[in-house]
Amino acid sequence: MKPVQTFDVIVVGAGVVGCSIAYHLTKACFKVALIERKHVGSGASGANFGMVQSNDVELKHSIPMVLKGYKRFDTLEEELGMSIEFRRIASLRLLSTEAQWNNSKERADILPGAGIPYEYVPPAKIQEIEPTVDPKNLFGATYASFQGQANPFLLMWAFLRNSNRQNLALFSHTEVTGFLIESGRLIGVETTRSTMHANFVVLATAAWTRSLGQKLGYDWNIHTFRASAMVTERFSDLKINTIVTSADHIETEINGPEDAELTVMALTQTPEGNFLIAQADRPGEVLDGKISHVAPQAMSSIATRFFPVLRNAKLLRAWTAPTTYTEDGMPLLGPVKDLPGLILAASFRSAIVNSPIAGEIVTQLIQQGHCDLLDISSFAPERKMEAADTVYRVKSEKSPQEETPD
Amino acid sequence: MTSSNKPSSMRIDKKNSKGCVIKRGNPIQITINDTQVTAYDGELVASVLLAEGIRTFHSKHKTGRPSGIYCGMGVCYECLVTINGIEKVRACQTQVENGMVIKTTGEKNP
Amino acid sequence: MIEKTDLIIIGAGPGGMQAAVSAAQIGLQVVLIDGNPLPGGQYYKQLPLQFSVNQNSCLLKEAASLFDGIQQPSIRLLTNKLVWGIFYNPKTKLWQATLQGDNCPPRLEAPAIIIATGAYDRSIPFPGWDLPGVITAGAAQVLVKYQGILPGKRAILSGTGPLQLAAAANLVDAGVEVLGVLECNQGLIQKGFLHLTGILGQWSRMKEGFQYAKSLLRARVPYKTGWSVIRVDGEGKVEEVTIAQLDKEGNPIPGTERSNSLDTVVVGYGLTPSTEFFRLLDCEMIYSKPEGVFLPKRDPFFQTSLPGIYAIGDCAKIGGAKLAMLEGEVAAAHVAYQSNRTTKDKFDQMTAKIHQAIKRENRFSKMLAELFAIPHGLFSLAKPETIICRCEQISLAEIRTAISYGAQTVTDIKNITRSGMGFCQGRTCASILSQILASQRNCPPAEGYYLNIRPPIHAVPIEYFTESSNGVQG
Repeated sequence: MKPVQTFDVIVVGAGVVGCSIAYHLTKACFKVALIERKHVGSGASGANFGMVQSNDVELKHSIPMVLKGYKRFDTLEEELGMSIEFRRIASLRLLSTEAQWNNSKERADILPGAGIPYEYVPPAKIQEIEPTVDPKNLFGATYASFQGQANPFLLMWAFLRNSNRQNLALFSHTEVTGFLIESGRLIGVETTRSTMHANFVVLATAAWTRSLGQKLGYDWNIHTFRASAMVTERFSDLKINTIVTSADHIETEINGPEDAELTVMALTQTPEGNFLIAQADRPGEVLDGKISHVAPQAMSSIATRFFPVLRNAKLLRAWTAPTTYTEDGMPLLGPVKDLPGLILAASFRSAIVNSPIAGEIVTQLIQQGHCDLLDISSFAPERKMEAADTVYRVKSEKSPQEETPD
Repeated sequence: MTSSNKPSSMRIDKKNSKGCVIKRGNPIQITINDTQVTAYDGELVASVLLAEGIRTFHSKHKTGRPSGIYCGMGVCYECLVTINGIEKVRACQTQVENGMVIKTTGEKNP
Repeated sequence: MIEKTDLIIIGAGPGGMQAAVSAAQIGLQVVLIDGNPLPGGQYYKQLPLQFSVNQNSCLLKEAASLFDGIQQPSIRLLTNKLVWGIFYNPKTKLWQATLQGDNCPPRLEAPAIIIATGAYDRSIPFPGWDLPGVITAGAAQVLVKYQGILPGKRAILSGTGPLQLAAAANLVDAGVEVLGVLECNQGLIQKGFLHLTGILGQWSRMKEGFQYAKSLLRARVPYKTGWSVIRVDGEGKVEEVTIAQLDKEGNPIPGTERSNSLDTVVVGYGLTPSTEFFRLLDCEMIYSKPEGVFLPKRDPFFQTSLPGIYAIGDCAKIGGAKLAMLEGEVAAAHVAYQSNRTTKDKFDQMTAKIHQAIKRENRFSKMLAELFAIPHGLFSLAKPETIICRCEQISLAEIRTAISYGAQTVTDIKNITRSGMGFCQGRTCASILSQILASQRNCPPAEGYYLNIRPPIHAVPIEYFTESSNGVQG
């Protein structure tokens, strides 16, 4: 007989969103279990650059939430009592063609008015921002000055460290194997470790949300793709002040074959001097963390195209993690309509900036049954989705057989 | 620049108890920290550094602590030196070559 | 076009070479890859080609048949090549090894890969362990035997097990003033009696051990059991060592401390398997107390939980060269059998003979592991300011802080502190992190799991990965 444990709330998934939810709930005196199939941050939360970014926000309904989330970062380190290595940093997206600029125009029209600076920079001015970029073949760049960067692991552990003082039970290497329903209400989960009962279950499970939902007979509309990144040694022959990205993938994304590997260049330098380089996206609904051997090549080629001196930097390691997107660019955030007791908090764009506010929202939902911080009706899990902007396009469903490196 | 003259050599030239003695390869010229030095074909960079009395191969990032050879097998990455302008190369995994330029310096700050 | 072969073997030490020879005998095409300039691994490490010695070591005479055996057309030997990753190709349903080095195919595919990457010295932290002048027993052997270089003038050896005797004898022979050999375990003779069955049939090894002991006796080098180095001091290098007697649990006994001035400390606390590829591939791993790390789960034919991936020799479990060779034979035979290159009868015949020998070797290595385990007290020598992760310069105090945040696995510690994020990807500090975590949480080390490793398994310049690759190894 497996042991039975009882909590007020079970949160599944110890990524940035799950850890934030655990923190906000324990702060509100709820007894919380945080269940994680591997270790804290073992999914996308531990595989990214730590960007606290607002410039890729879905434009129709998500701006108020992102603004609230970003504001929390002003005081988060003080509140959590430790450094998360947060710094304000701008993001610079290099445009090779006018078509790429046209793709960003809508953002440039809407974001500044909403309080998120976002502007076009002509080639002549690029080196004022980033001296090491050669503007010769560029149409220009978009400059988003209101961004940030944090250490995602320190963020998660800052949430957890505070939660631990407030009665959190963290279960690493524990998988949810089933759900317990009684009289039409979700009352708990079965795990590899024990049976757990609670009044609420929150799924902050990103790429695993859909398959968990299928255990309950739901097919939530979340898609996964594999995003790869890599890190170099500390390299002082190049200095970068911003997060530099390229937009060269846009044409492929819009016009190319659906299963094309999209290599977006994203590059930033940590305060210690290491270069974080991304990102090669493999389409296909994949859940494993296995990087393909071509990903380091794709990322290296594109990074050295813009920054040739990086050729001499030694690559320390490359990794991948399943990452999510939704067709309309909005998260699945809110109670599941016909299963009381179940709340989703998955697929944010992007997760880090929204993590503090997601924690507040879920806590409110559990405390008082509704959210009055924000209108989250557009994020309802069961909504019908209409494709929004083209930051991410829906990739067709491909079986693992087909989405291989050559 | 003349070859440095170490009072007591760290190279083993005597026979051991089994009567074995190692015969090294041909002498070659390399530069260590701007000083010309005679090394022998087949020697590892780490060996030549030790033979020249150099134990600190580099200084650690953040703390500046000195570091040199530890595992001798290329596993620990403690024996990092700059070779022909390329930083952080493992001295215990690299054989000397004629004209090689070796620098044992601390890390530049990023 | 990706080059294909019947069998890829990574590591040309005794195990890898034997596996290659056995596979070739059955008719398989083999690619045998090693990162060193010459085959032989650590155990049969050959002098650089440019060196010569007036007398062949008996060890290398033993290896001669293997070195000759791999010189055949069906074995393609690639030396000075780094295998930086292993990937599964779902299209071809083959395993793919990615290589870096001069004049070599960047990728190779085969239905099976035998991993024989051996082991390296295990590290126990203590104050001053990271000073220049503290070297492992393995490093001492490389310098003295393979390069003819003295690691220092005045040395002490501290650790456990017979490998120390070999290192000490070699240092004495080379002219190093050896102050003593400290064996941290005690009561060896009494414990040894319980393991007599383990010694049966190991006369050649016993003889070897006696030779080393003779060298040390002749040079009057003290051999002390139940003693260990507990700290090393010096201005930027080894200058003074402090040793102490240990109680039965391995804790230094207060009042027994002694100090000596010297320039070299040789530490030999046993070996750690090189399990990088198994963790990279997500093979099922099981915690093993003697080694203090997770090892790949293997079936009776040394196949891991991933069909087609085999683990032989010290990289799977510390057991020595002889055992590695026997396992290599069995694994090669199984590869042939799985690819229908040999019948079940032939396969049973080949492996039946070997199993007795494997059993005997396992008994011996089990005995060594039990006699020469690291006593628990030695895991607590480090002080809060002692550096634990040398690559990223993370101290014990920082690691303890991370655990106080609620870290439950070694990967949590890595993520919070950056331990294991440097060049060596945790090869040196992983088992230490495991001990610290287990001790602070009062939990079995197995519950702390193990560190992931990501490709490339050794740092490679980005230049190599771009279109025009021109790899620089270093």
